[in-house]
Amino acid sequence: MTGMGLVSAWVLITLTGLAALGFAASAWRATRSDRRPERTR
Amino acid sequence: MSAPVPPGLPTGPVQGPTELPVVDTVDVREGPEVAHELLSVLPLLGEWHGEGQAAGAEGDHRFGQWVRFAHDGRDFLTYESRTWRIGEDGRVVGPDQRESGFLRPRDGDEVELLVSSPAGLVEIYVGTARTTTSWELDTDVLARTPDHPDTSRAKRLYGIVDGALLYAVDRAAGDQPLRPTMSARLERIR
Repeated sequence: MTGMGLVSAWVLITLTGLAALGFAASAWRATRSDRRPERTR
Repeated sequence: MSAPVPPGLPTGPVQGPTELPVVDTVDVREGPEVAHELLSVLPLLGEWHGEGQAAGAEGDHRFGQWVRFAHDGRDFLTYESRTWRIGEDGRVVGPDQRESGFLRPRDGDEVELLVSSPAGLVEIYVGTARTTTSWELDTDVLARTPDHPDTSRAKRLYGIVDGALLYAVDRAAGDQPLRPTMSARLERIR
C-alpha cells in the first residue's frame, strides 16, 4: 500500500475481504486436488 | 525518616534497567498466558513497523510508524502508536502523531477500541471482526479539546494481508462525510 497514496477504510474493507476470499479459494483448490486421486480410482 | 516502599518497587536508587513486577508481552511464547478472550484479536499481537500516508492541510504526506499491541495476561490488548513525518527526500522530518489505548474484545466478534492522543482527541470505537484477520470499528463516543480540529465521527479498519498489518482511519468534521485521514502498511518486527 505504501506508495499508493492515502487509502480509505472502505477500500481496505474490500481488500481484506478479497484477501479472505483468496485464502478461501486457495483452501478450496487444495481440497479439490486432495480429492481428485480418489475420484480417478 | 523515609516513606515505606510499596511492594514491587526498588528500595534504593535504580542501578540498571527498570523492570516492573508485572509485564506486558507481544510474544505468545513468553510472559503471561494469553487470555482466551483475546483469541479474536490475537493476530494483532506484536510490534509493527512501516510507512503510510496522512491527509493534512497542505496535502498528503508520508509518515513512518511503529505500533505495538501487547497483553499482560488479561482480556485486553494495550495499544501504542508513534509516527514520524517523512519528507519528500525520504528523510525523517520529526515526530508526528502518537496515540495510546486499549483494544477490548467483547462477546462473540465484538470489539471495542479506546484511544487518546496528545493532539486533544479521545475516541471510543465499537466494531466487529469482519473476518479472522480484519476488524471494522466506528466511533461510539468522541471528545476533543477546544484546540483540536472539528471531528464528529471516525471509522477504522485493521486487516492482516499477506502477513502485513494494513489499516485505514477515516474521519468526518461536523455533518461532512467521512474522509480518508491516515493509512499505512506495517510489517511485523516482533
